[in-house]
Amino acid sequence: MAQDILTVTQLNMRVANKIKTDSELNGIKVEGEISEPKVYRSGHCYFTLKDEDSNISCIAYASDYRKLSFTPRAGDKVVALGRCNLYTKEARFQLIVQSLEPIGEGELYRRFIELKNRLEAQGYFALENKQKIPWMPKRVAFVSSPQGAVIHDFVSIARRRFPNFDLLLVPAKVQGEGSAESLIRGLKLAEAKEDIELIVLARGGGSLQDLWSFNEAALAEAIFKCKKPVISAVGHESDFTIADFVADLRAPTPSAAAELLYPSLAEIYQTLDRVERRILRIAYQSLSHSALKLSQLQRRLQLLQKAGGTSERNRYDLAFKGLSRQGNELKLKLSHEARKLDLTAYYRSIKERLRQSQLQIKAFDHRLQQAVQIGVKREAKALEAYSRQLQGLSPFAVLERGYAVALDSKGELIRSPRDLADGSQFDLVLESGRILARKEKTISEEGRE
Amino acid sequence: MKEIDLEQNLKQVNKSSAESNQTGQQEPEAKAQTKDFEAQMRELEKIVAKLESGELNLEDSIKYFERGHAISQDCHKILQEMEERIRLLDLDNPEREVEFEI
Repeated sequence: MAQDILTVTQLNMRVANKIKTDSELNGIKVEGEISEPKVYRSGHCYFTLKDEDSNISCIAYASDYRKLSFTPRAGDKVVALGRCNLYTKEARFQLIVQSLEPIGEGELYRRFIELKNRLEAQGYFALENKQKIPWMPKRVAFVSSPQGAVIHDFVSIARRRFPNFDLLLVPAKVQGEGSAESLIRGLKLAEAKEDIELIVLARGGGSLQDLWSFNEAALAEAIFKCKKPVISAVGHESDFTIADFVADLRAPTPSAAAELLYPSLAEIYQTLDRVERRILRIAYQSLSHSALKLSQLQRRLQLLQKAGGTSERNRYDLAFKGLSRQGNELKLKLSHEARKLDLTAYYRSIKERLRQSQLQIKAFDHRLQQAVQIGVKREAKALEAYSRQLQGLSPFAVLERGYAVALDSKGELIRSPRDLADGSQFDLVLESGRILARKEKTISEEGRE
Repeated sequence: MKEIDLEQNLKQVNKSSAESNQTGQQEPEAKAQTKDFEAQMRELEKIVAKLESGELNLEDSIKYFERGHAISQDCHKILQEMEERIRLLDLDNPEREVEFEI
């Protein structure tokens, strides 16, 4: 039988018919990701449904679109209920969508758990693979949407905690079509910048769908391989994404990230202040100690001043007055400057004065030794002189000159002949011995015969 | 975390300042200090503990005073030189950053 020759229209319609009547192509459910949705003034919505390898044009007529329970956006993973159709005029194969449902949270959650277990087994979450977060990062990269509350919240907390921070905002899509790629690109750009010490990945709260790009394996890989530490700050406190597990630190929210990564500047200043005060106090004590040693030296030398000659005494006097004056001046200056906490001049003066004090203590110690020796010599000389004088004054000194001394029975000196009765005994003391003698008679008295 | 050796740091400071006195160059240790703020704060605490221990003689006390003072000044300087800076990266031209108002 000769084959019919069809017109194009007939061909197209033949195919369209086959499709329309095939039960396998009607009332079917198709799962995929929404791409480029467009709603026209007519109220009809045109979009593409795709998976990793293929895609198909879709149309939801106004009457159906209106009834949808949610607004489909690019990147949404959905299950579409509809029927296949061939647009005969252009032989375009399409899916007429009667209803759309976002992929059940249950289904998404199952995939989340699957990926989490797989990556955990591969060591992506291991503690030993995590990098240390720098205590005071000089420059931080913030990968997130430049609009919205997330960046504002982060900045306001950062300003309170550590004003004068240095932040680089790296714009990225945080949900929907292409957002995983956008986040990965942002991460890599931030990593490439030399002055960036830390990267924050952030986005606000949302459904599991909304947060889904943070559960993508490709992003987990990029975070794991990142050479700089990464903090993830995704969703609300109870939201956990794969990115949170792989990151070097998880912040429950973007605001919490600011608290975690910045130290408190006020506390840093307080610590510095406290430390400076302690150093000051010790310095003051050291100086007081030196001043005490000086006073002690002063007292010791004062004792010797009595033995010393006038000129030496004056010299020591002046020197010590000078030192004690310096010591007092310094103590005054110390208490004054301690109040001002002006450390620069203060430390310079301490250092200088302490050095000088040390030298002077050494010098005075030396002079002290000398003075002691001189004093002792002088004392010895004086003593000698005194003893010589004493000896000369002693009545027994005359003995050495060859004279004799007469002593009565009581041992008292006989000065005049009258003191002794005639015939009584007395001792005669000579230079080399004693004689027991008796008085005969008085020969002469002073001034009388 | 690297342990801080006070004596080592002090010796290095004296050595490099003696060297720079001879060559007249800028002290290299000054730059190294600004790199790790946290390490400086920790060293400062250690210095104070050492001074308060009373083990030091006058000569060493002076050395530690000076070092503590230098570090403290350096820390203040680092903090004072910081100022708030928020920039937005230009995705089309990643070398470029623009000012960003928040």
